[in-house]
Amino acid sequence: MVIFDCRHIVCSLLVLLGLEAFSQDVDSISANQPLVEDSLVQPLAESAEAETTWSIDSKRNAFTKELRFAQYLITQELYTDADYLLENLIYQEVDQDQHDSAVFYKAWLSYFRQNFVESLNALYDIDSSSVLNTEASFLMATCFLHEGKYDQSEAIFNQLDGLTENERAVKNLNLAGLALLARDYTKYDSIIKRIPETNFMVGSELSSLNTYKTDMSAYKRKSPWLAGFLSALVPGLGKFYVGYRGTPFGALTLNLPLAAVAVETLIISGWTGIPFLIAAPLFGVFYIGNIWGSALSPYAHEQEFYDEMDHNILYDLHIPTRRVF
Amino acid sequence: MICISLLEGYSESIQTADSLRQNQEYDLARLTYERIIYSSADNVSRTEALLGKAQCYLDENDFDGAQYTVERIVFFGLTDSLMWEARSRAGLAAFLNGNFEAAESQLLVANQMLPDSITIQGSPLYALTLNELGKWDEAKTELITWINWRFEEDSLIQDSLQSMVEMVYSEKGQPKYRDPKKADLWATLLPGTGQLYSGYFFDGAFTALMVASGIGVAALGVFVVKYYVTGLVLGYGIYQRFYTAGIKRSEFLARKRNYQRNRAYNDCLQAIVIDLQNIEP
Repeated sequence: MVIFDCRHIVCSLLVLLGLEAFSQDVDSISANQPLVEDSLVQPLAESAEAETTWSIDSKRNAFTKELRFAQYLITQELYTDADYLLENLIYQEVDQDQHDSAVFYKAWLSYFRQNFVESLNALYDIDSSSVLNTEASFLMATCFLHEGKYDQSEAIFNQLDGLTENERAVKNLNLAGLALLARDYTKYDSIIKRIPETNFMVGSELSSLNTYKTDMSAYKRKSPWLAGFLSALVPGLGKFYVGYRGTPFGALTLNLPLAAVAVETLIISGWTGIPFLIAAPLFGVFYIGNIWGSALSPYAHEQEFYDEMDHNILYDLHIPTRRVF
Repeated sequence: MICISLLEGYSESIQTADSLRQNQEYDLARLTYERIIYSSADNVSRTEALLGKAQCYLDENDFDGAQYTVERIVFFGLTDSLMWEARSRAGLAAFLNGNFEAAESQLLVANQMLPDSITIQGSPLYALTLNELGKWDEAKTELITWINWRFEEDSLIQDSLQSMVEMVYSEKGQPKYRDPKKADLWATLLPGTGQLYSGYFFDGAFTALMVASGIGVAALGVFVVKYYVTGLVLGYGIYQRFYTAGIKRSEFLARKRNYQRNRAYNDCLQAIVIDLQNIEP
């Protein structure tokens, strides 16, 4: 009797210290003990059960406090400390919900550090039936978005349901952003109709997306042929036509003196003179390079324009997601 | 160990954190200090924990982390000794982080707010900070005051150390600076002389030679081989490159020379201050 009682007290202490594996051994040992009379065992068993429940509760409370502490560390931008704490909390013997919470914080931390792959790896570890499933899916979709995996991101956003009004607005904003990233303006127009313009969670970002959409749909790539032709007439003029303002003058100041040298050597030494045979190819290389560069510049300019737009879109999608969760 | 301490977190004390730091378990020590900061209601234990955490960073040579941590200290309701510890640690972290203005500001505030009997201990650090800021006369005064306090019972040592400090801080020994604007002006007027002014003879000679070559190539093209355009284009190309580069380089070299002289002088002073601290009264 006394032995039985002591064992459960030890068991409770072990649970309290987070050493459940040992407590299970103790439980299994006690299960193998010969049964004592039921009338005597019952009250003691109930009291031991109550004690174990109390210790689990106390452990749960301690874990919750630790999670709050982790949240504080993240808020204070003490990421190294938060990372260390969460890394250890994840491996504590706790229930699935608490494990998921710790993993979720870890995923957020990786997201803040722009380590999206690490964040995704953590999010895969969260149980699909978890209460954090919506938040985790949101974060996962956002990580895919930043990783450039737009299809996967869209698929996750589309699967989300049972959302609050604000969450739905953020989800639709993300879907609209995805449509913009895919340059599907018709789809974008149909999605933004679902977002209430007055929603404070997404209001300013929505108007930014609308501006990007207007800019992108108005953008027309300049003709590479015309750019090349203009640069053939006056070096650098093609790049000026495309929209560059600094580099055209560089091309002009390089090509004009070389052209002057080539002409002078032609006049003085003739077609077959050595000075001309040196100066002419030199000028030719730079002149053709200038035309070729100008012909390619509309594509480069277009790429730069869309890269900047994509960067702005991703930034504007990131803010409401942080705001809502 | 970690499992136990994490779930027992709220009962931990500064002693636990200190012992973890002494055992070089810095990650856990920092977390333990931070837990105290998070949970403590009074500013004194919060400050002690912040100081402990800053010390962890200092032990790991992470001066950025140390400075960020001490900057979180709220200097309110602290005892004089704790206030001094906080200010001097903040000054030390800023000094080690190369942020000398911040270090000076921390130590200056401490000097103004706290009694001399406490702040006098920090005079060597203050002098080192003032050295780095080029305020050598103030640094000298600070060191002499400190010598008088530290060796007050031995006037012989006091006098000899004072005269040594007077000597090393004499105006004659202080570094002479080159004015980058003057270097710029010299290089503009006569290519190569800017570098010469900064003390780089070969650098200046090379620039002068290349600029002269540019003029030479132009003259050769125009007057000798009669390739007027070619001569002018090539000559001007060489001249213009080395002329403008020479101006920029002169300014850079003047700053480099100033830094080197400053560093050499301050390194010497630093060694002297450290030696002074090691002398037992």
